[in-house]
Amino acid sequence: MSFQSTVFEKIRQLFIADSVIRSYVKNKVYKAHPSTIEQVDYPAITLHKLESKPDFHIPDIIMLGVQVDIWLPAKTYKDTDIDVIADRVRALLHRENLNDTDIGITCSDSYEQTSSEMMYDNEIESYHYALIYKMKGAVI
Amino acid sequence: MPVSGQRVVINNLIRFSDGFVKHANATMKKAVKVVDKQVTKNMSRKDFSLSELTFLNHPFASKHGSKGTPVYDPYWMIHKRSGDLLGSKFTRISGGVGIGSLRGTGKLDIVGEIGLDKSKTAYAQNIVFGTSKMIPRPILTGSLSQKEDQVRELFDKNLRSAVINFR
Repeated sequence: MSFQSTVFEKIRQLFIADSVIRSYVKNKVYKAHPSTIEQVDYPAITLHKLESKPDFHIPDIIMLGVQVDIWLPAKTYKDTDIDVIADRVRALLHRENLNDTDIGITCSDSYEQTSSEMMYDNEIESYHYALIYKMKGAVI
Repeated sequence: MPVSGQRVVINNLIRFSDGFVKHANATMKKAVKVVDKQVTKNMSRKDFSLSELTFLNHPFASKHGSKGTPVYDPYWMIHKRSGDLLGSKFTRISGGVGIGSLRGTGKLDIVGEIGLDKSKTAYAQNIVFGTSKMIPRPILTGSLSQKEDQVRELFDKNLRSAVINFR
């Protein structure tokens, strides 16, 4: 498996194991952007690869950019619910190591590079918030 | 035994820290300029005329999927139309003002930013972060990534020199 796919699986496992995140999205953490998925069941969290390139100093290490999107239907949730989920995402990903020998990755230096402001998606009538993370590591 | 010359040392430290902050600010300005130029270039693509876009069956239309037809590499480059999005771009440098923090805490924070002002183009966020039907186009972080090595080299070279040239 590629570094990206193993990282996405690790992130997905972290999110669905978190009781707060699970209370909102259950196990609906998709490892692809919703625009590429035929049927997305909202509320959901989606993961999208932004970039992937070798580390400047150590080419065997991959630098990965990941966008985490939180989607909450406005009919059921408030925009403040987005903040609750975003706080959990940050607690799980920002400045954390995602090492996992079971999945087979070593992944360090995960940090939040930037995030969006609160957005509203008219197509799906949902609040949308995006967080961008950069991380580096390798498949082991 | 009394220490002599401490006034000279103190004055030199003050002169050094003043000079260092100015140098750090100047280096950050250069770094922002490098990345800003790349962002502008990536947001101003005009490779195709309107008739050529028609001939290509409107490659950026949603009928071709969330990424559109890949006419650019990387895909997230933006074709300039009205110029409104480009007009919303701003740069900002903050921190590093005076040397109070350097003297007081020994820390110096200077932040260089390049962004899109959503008060000028409300749809800027939708383009950068995507929607449920449109893939993100990370024009800002992508441009930074393209110039990251050059910016790193700029800081390594210039700030290392500041220390070496201290008299």
